[in-house]
Amino acid sequence: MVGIPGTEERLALAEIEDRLRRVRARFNLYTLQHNFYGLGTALSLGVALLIVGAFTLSAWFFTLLAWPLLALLAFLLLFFLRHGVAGWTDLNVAARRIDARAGLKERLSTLVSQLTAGIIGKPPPSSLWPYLLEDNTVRLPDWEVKKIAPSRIPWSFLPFLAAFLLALFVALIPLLSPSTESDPFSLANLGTVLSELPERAGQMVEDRMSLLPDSQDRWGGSSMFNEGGTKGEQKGEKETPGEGREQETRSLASLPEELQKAIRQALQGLQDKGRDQENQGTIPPPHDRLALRPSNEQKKPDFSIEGQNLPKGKEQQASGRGQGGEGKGGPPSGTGGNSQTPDQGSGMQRLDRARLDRKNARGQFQPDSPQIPGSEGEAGEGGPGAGSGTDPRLFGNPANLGNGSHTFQLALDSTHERGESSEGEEKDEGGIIEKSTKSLNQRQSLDDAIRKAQIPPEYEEIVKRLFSRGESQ
Amino acid sequence: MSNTPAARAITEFQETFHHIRTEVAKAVVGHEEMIENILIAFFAGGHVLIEGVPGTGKTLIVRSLAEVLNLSFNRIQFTVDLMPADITGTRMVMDRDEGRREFVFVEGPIFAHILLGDEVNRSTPKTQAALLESMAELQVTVAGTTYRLPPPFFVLATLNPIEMEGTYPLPEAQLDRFFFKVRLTYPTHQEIQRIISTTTTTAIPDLEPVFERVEAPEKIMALRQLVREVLVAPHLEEYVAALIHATIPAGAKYVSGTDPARVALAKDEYVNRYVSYGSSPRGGQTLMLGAKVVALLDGRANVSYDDVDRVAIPALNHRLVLNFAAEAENMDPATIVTRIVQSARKLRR
Repeated sequence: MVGIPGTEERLALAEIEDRLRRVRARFNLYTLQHNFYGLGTALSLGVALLIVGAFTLSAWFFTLLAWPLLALLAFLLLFFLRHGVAGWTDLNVAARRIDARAGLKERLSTLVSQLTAGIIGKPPPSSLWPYLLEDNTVRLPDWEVKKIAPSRIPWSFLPFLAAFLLALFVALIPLLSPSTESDPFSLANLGTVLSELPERAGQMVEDRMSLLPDSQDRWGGSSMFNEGGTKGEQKGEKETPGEGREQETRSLASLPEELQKAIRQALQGLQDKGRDQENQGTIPPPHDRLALRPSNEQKKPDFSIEGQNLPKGKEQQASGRGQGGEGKGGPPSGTGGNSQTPDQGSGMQRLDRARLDRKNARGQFQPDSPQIPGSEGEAGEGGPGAGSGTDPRLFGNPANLGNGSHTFQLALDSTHERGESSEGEEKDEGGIIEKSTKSLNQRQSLDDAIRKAQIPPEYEEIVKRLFSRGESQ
Repeated sequence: MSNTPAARAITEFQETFHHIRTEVAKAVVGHEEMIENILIAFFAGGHVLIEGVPGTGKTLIVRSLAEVLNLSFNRIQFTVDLMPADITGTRMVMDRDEGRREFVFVEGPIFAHILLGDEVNRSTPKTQAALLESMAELQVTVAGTTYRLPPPFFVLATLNPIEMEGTYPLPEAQLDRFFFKVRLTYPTHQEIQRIISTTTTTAIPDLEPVFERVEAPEKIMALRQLVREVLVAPHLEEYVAALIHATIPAGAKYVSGTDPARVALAKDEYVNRYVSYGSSPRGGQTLMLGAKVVALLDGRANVSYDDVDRVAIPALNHRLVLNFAAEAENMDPATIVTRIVQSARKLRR
C-alpha cells in the first residue's frame, strides 16, 4: 500500500464503512423486531380478548367489543408500520446513534456525512479531513459491534412472549375444558383447568401428536358411518355418501401403484389369517365399531382402498350383500366365492374380516357382526362371515353404491366398550355412532384403550413397512 | 495520533491557546471562563463586549491579552463629547518640505490590532456607529477614502452597567456586531485575596509574549483560518439553526408562517413570554464559529453538540431583545438561552 497516494485513506474508510454497515444492520434488525413484537403483543392480546369475549359475551356485546377492538388493532398495525419505517436507519442516522452511544462527539457522523456527500475522488473539503479520518480510525475499538449494536432480541420480545402465551392459553382453555362446561372462562373452570393443566395439556398434546386415530369428534365425521347418519343429519344431508367416500379414498389412490398393491396384499394376508381364526370360531362377533379416521391425512395412513382400482369387482361387490345371503356353508365369500379372484367380489368381505381381526386382536371390544340382522344381506348358515352381507352403514345407502364410484374402505378400528359409551352416542340402524365432539374423557379412555391394545405383530410390521415405504416415496 | 500536518496544526492551536490563557492568568486573577470566552471570540475573528462593574479587571484583561499576543494595542475612553473622527482618524492639513500644504490622513486609535473601547455606551450613537462600522467591515472610510484595518483586528468594548444616566445604550443592531458578550462577575473571596496579594507589592507580573511581534499577525491569522477548516456535519448545522429559531417567539413579526423548521423545536415558554425579538442569523454564525474553536481546543476536527452548547450563552444572550415583562421581572437572557439549549437536547437523537 505504501507509495500509492490515498490508499491508506481508502482502506481506513472501507473499514469504517464496513463496520458501520454491520451496526446499521443490527439497528434495523432491532427496529424491525421491536415493531414486530409490539404489533404481535397487541394482536395476541386482541385475539385473546376476542376469544374470551366470544365465550362470555352475548352476540350483541361481542359485536360491540369486536368492532372497536378490530379498529384498534388496525390502527396499531398502521402505527407500528409507520414507526418501523420511521425507525429505519440510513448510514448517517446510524453514525449519529453510534456517536451518541460511544461518546464519539460527532466524529463518526461528520465523517460519514462527508462520505455520503461524495468526498471520494474529490479534493478533501478541509485540510483537517485526514485528521478526522485518522481520529475515527483510532477510535474504531470504541465502537465494536458488540459494544454498540443493540441486542439481537429486543426487550419487547418478553411482553410479546407473555401476550402470545396468554393468547395461547386462552385459546386452549376451551379445548382443555370438559365439553359439558358451558362457560370455559368461569373462575371455577379456570381453577380446574389450571390445577390439572399438566395432565390435560399432556393428554391433549399426546392426542394431537399421536399417529393413532383422532378423537371421537373426528370419528363422527367419518364418512363410513355418518354419511347417511349423524353427519348427514347435522349437515342437512347435503353430502351424498358417494362424495364422502371419494374424499376418504383419495389419499390411498394418490399413493404409488406399488404401494397400493402392497397394501392390498398385506390386507389380504391378514384376511386369510382372520378367516382361519374365524373358521375355528375363536373370533367373537364385533360388538361395536367405529371408524377411526386419521385427523391428519398427511401424517397418518389412510387404509382405504379405492374401489375404482379394483378390476371388475365393484359391480359384483355392489350386489354382494344379497349374494352373500345365498351362500350356505360355502366358503366365506359370496355367491361367486370360488369363482372370484381375491381382488374381485370377495374383496369387501375380506377387508371387513381383516378389520374385525384387528379389533379382536386388540381385545378391546366385542365387535358387532358385520352382518346386519334382518337385512337382505343376512349371513348364511355356514357361520359368521359366510356369504355375509355388507353393513350398509359401512358404505351408506346401497342405492348410491351402484351409481358413483365404489370404494373399498378399511380403517383402523377402535372403539369403546358399550358400557363406556357416552351420552352422545346415537343408535343408527343398529350401529353405535359416537357423536360426542369435545369430551376429553372419552378421548382419553379411547386412547387408553388403544394403548392397552395388543396389536398383532404382523400388523405392526405391515404398518411400519408401509410407513417406511411411504416416507421413502 | 500521527504527526500529520493537520495533527500538528491542531496541536499548535491548542498549545497557543493554552499558552495565552496561562500568560493572561498571570496578570488577571480568576475569570478563567471569561478569558477563555474572549480568546474563543478572538480566534473566531469576532469582537467581544464585556460587561462588568468597575474594577473587575476589564481593562487589565484586554491589556494583558495584547501584551501576550504581542500585537498593537490602543484604548479609547468613550465619552459624550467623543467624535467619530477621534476614533477613525481624520484628514489634516500638513506642511510639506517644499512649502506645499496638503491633506494627510492621520490614523485614529482604531488602527490597531487590539482596541479597547472603554464604556462605549457613554458616547453618542454617531461615535458608536463609527466604531461598529469598523468592526463589521474591518475598514474605515474617511473623506471618501477607504482604509483597511490591519488584521487581525479585535475590539473589546466594555459596558458599565451602573451609572446609566447620560449614557447611550447600544442599539440592538450594533450589539449584534459583537461576537460574544461576556459578563464579568465579582471575584470570589479567594480571588480577591489573591488580587490583593499580587497587585500591592513591587513585583509586577512579567508576561511572556506568545509570538514574535513581526510574525504575530500572520500566525494569528493562520490560526483563525484553521478554525474555519473544522468540519461540520449537516445535522449540526440543523441543530444550530433550530437553536436560532427557538429564540424567536411565536407570533413574532417578520417570521415566515410556513417555515417547517419552526416546528423542529417547540417554543420555550420563556421565549414567548419575555422575548420580543430573537437572534439574527449572525447568532448562528457565531455559534458555529465559536463551536469550531472549542472543537479544536478539544483536539477534534469536527464540531459536536457540546461545542455548540458551550458557546450558546455568550453568543446569544445579547442577541435576545427582551420585552418589558422581562425587564419588570429582571429576567436574565442567559436563563432563557439555557432553557432553549436544554429543550434542544432532544434534537440530538
